[in-house]
Amino acid sequence: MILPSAYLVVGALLFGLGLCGVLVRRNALTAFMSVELMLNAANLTFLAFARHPLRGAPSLDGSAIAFFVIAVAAAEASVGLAVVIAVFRSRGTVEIDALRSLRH
Amino acid sequence: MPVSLADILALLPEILLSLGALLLMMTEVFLAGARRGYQALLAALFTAAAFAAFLAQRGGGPRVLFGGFAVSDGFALFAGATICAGLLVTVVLGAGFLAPRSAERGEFYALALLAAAGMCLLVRAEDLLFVFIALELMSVPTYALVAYLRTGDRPSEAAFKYFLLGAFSSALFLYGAALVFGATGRTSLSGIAAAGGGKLLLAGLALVIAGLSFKIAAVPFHMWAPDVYEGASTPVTAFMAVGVKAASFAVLTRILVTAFGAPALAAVWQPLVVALALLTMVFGNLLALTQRNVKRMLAYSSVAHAGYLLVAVAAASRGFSGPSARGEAVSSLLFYLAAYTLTTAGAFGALAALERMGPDPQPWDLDRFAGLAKRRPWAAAATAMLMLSLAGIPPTVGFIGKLLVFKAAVDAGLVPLAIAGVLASVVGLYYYLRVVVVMYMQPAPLGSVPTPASWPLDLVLVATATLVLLFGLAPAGLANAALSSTGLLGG
Amino acid sequence: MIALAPYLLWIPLLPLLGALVLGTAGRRFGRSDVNVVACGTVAGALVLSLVAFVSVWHGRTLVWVLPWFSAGRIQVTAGLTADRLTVVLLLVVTGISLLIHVYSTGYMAGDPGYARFFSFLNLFVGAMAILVLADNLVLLFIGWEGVGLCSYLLIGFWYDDDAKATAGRKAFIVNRVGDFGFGLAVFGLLALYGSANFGALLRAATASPPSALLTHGIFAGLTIQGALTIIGLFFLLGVTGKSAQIPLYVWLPDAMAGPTPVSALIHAATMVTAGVYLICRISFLFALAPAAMLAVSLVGGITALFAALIAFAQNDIKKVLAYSTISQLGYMVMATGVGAFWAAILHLVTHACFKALLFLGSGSVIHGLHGEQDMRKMGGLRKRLPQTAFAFGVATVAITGVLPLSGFFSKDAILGLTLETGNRLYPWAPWTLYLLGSLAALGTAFYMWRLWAMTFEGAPRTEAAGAAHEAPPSMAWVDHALAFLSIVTLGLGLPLAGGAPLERWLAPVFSPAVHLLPGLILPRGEGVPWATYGVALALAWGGLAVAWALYVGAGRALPARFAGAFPGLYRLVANKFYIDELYASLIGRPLWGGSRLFWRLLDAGLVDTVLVRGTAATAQAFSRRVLKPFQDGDAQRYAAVMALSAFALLFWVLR
Repeated sequence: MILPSAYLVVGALLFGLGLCGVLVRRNALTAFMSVELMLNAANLTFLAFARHPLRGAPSLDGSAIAFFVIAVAAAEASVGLAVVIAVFRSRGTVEIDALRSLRH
Repeated sequence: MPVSLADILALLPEILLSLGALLLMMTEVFLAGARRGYQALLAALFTAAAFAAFLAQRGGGPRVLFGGFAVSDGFALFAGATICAGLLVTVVLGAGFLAPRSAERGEFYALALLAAAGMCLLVRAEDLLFVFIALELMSVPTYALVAYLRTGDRPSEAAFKYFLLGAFSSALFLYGAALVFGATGRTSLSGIAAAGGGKLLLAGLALVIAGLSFKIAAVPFHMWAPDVYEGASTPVTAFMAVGVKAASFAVLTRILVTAFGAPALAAVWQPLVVALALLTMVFGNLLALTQRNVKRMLAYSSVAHAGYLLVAVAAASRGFSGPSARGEAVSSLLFYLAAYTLTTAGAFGALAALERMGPDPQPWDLDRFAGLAKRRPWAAAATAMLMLSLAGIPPTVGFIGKLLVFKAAVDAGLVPLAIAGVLASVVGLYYYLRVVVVMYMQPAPLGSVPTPASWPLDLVLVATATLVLLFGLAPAGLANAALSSTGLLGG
Repeated sequence: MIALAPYLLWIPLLPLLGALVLGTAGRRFGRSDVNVVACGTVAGALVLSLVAFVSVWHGRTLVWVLPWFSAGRIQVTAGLTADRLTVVLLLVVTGISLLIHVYSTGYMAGDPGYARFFSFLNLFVGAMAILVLADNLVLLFIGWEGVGLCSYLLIGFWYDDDAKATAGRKAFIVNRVGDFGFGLAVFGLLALYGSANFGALLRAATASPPSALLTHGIFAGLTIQGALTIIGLFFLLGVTGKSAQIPLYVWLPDAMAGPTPVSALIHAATMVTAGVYLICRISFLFALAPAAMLAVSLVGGITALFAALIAFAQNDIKKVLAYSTISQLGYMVMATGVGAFWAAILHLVTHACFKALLFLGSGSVIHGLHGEQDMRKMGGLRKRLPQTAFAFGVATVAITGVLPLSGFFSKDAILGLTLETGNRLYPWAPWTLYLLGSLAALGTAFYMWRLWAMTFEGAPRTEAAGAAHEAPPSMAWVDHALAFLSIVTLGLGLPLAGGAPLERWLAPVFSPAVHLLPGLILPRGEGVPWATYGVALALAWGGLAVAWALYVGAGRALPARFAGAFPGLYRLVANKFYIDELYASLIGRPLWGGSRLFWRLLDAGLVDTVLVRGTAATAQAFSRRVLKPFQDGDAQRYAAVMALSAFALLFWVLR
């Protein structure tokens, strides 16, 4: 039997990992994948709370949200990949460090 | 969940916008000829229809749609109409800006219409799930729009920054929403308000505010704004500055006032919003001060205006002011949003009108405005009017907006915040009027290339400037419309 | 009796419409069409002002309330009101404006920006009319900002010259500092009384005693008097900006970069007196705050003397007049500070006439000398420009008060009331202020006659001065009209039994303030203060004598016989008693030095660098050095800032 709080801890850890990934990974694709990690962390949290609510009976609301988030994340990913490709086409690289012509 | 025909009819504006978007994408497949002028007209027609639909729906009381996912109330209708007005300006700007650059495509209008549909859904969202989906429906087409004009490497860089940080903020918001759900077991805003909760709810609240602060470009979540605004093509920048900001402010206000409106919770978020407002007003104005790049200056200016709008949000806090004062605070927010939309869209139109074609290392330098009063007196006069409105000088609508917002703040007991706002806007005077000075008091530099006149851009300039003056001289109609649009937030 | 008067609206509206027409279609107009529109609209405003005057004469107070907008509890009405004070100002504003419009048709003839100039000038008249007619502080502020904008546009009218554009910018920044004060003061009043309407403020001010303790709001813990002192000081800051008082006067001398009619209308006769009008309009609030009143009077008195000292060392004819304006405005502000509101308005009216005339006269001189402004290159112009010299002479007599023309009575009304008004709280104040004012009067006489002597007397010092030509008739005609006004306005200040005519006219307006004044003992107004008149006359002639001796030469006419008998004494006399040298070494150099030191230290140094450039530069440097480096284009740094901020929010709510 896994404690309900364990899901939440895993969710928080995933969120933290994703956050760190966005901040430190220099590759645009990896940074973007880290964002997906954060979204999934939120999803896991939704599911955990749906299954083991702090009060009241378990509800399907949280689970439904998870499905929507998965769908939205997919749409976001497609546009995100297109943007990364556009960057690669104009600069020949997807290193975030190279993307600093707009500043000050 | 019973869905009635009335629920669907209530979404008529969004449906019109989505239909228009689909139709425009179809034209790109079946009617892609050399002449695409009809696309702008089509987009404008659908936008105008959506605007009219919003206006037509006014008058009825608040209605819950789809079993509590969304609502149709005055607040949503006013904000939706404002968004459609912004979209209309964007469409005309797009026609005037893209056609000479041979970059007019159906996708541009389709994406803008889709994003606007997302915005209009966002302002009527009553459920965190609905908020998230609408937020993404607004954001995803906007990411694509930023990358739209593929000249040089600026748009793709701007799009990537906006996308990465936007997705990041969405994740913050979503995690916050998950925590709120965990604390209350509910996702509907009224349900959250009824349930209440402890520390977990507060943590969720903080993350939700952080996520939305990105969308409204509040300091310190604003750093993407100047870069992305500069990199995106000017009509897109205008759309982001007005549409995204208006919709995000509407949803932020709705969430704070409806879901977190209880006095105990308001006592937590009001100082937070006050702090954000203060930071945003001060730093937005200071950062704009040194910009010679007018596009970046306008970007920082839109940051600064987010600060004034946050003052209105802070004033709308429950428990610190009576119900009528709260209504006035919300109405001042709506009025300011409308004023800001008109003025900022027009100001970016002025910028678009001066932008040259082809490569230009300093396309938005202040010098581009030099001597404009002699070359194009009408455009200069309109731009001057818009700058006065941004600066909040009478008799423009911007002045009335500031007056209402600061009055609401004073009524809510936030006098120091109002004073800070007045002082910050005095700083703002300097850089807005510098544009006027350059137009009227500096000769055009020798050898400067005059920009070709484009009638849609001139139309935008003259129309927005006229409205800015008109609503400044006779603001009663707009102010009363805003005032009668505050009955949303469940008392 | 309160009467509705819809035509009040047309007083600002006519010039504004003129500005609109000229601004949009003016370039297609011929010169005469521009003249008709520009002068016609202002003449219309003058006629309506006269109608208002007659109506007020019959005991009415005119109001016209435009429901600007009302939304819920918020009601913003653009109320216009005309009482006895308003109509005086209206007549001054529209009357002088009309004259200067006519003058400008000659002065600006041939300028490529002819229509643009008149559209700005009309805009100014409209804004000034709004300022004067407003029945609340918000609307007044709109006019206040409007006239500022016009001033700014007109100073930089010839923008091809960089220095002139800079002058416009300086005026703008300095006035922002003043507006800071104005804005805060209005907010303070809103917080204190909940209204910005003059009528409501008056009712509120008289309803509760000034010693009442405030229990809530931003002024909690203060008495009403304390709160009003703070508010009054902020208003004073606004006044120092608009009316060019210490420390914010620095923009006015530079503002002379604008065309001379602009200097005459905006920077001498009307706009710069807006601060004085403001204090008079809310006199009942100042009356409740004796400390603020004292500050007002001291700022005025010190400015009056200080600006007069600086005028000694100036050689630019318009600069002398600019410092003179600052000094005369100082008198008006000082008068309001001692509760002599009517005297301030009297001096405002007379000063508007003779100072406008001085500026227009100097404009004719400059026009005649093809743009020369340096007095050292003039001289002997009395014979070349007899018409101008006559009018200029009248104005100089009026301002210095050597003969009892208008300036004599208005200035001496101020000086006399300063001395006679007892002060229970600050017994030293009357004497100090009287001394400051009297020394300033001496200084005024000196620098004005010095100006006269250097410009009109003696022999031409350059060829241009010898070949100077008289101004066109439209300009000369206006000069004479203003000279006439400079003489006849003396009637307003005649010390008749029962008070001067203007004093009696304005008494109803200022009676609330006078009844509220807690610390001041107002004079009974019985009898004519011959003593102060005598002193004032002596000072005026003293200044005249010194200037004449030094710049025209007193020893020249002494008989040669005298020279033969006393050769030693003759040398002394021929060399003007070595007064020049004595003056130069004993008085002149220290005084010149002091004057220049003041100028360097305060004008060019402290205020200009620290206050004006300093504020802007600090903000810009802060922005550039501290804020901009964060904006280095690195998306991940942005994300890091966002993440940190989100954590900060988390900590805040969870603490």
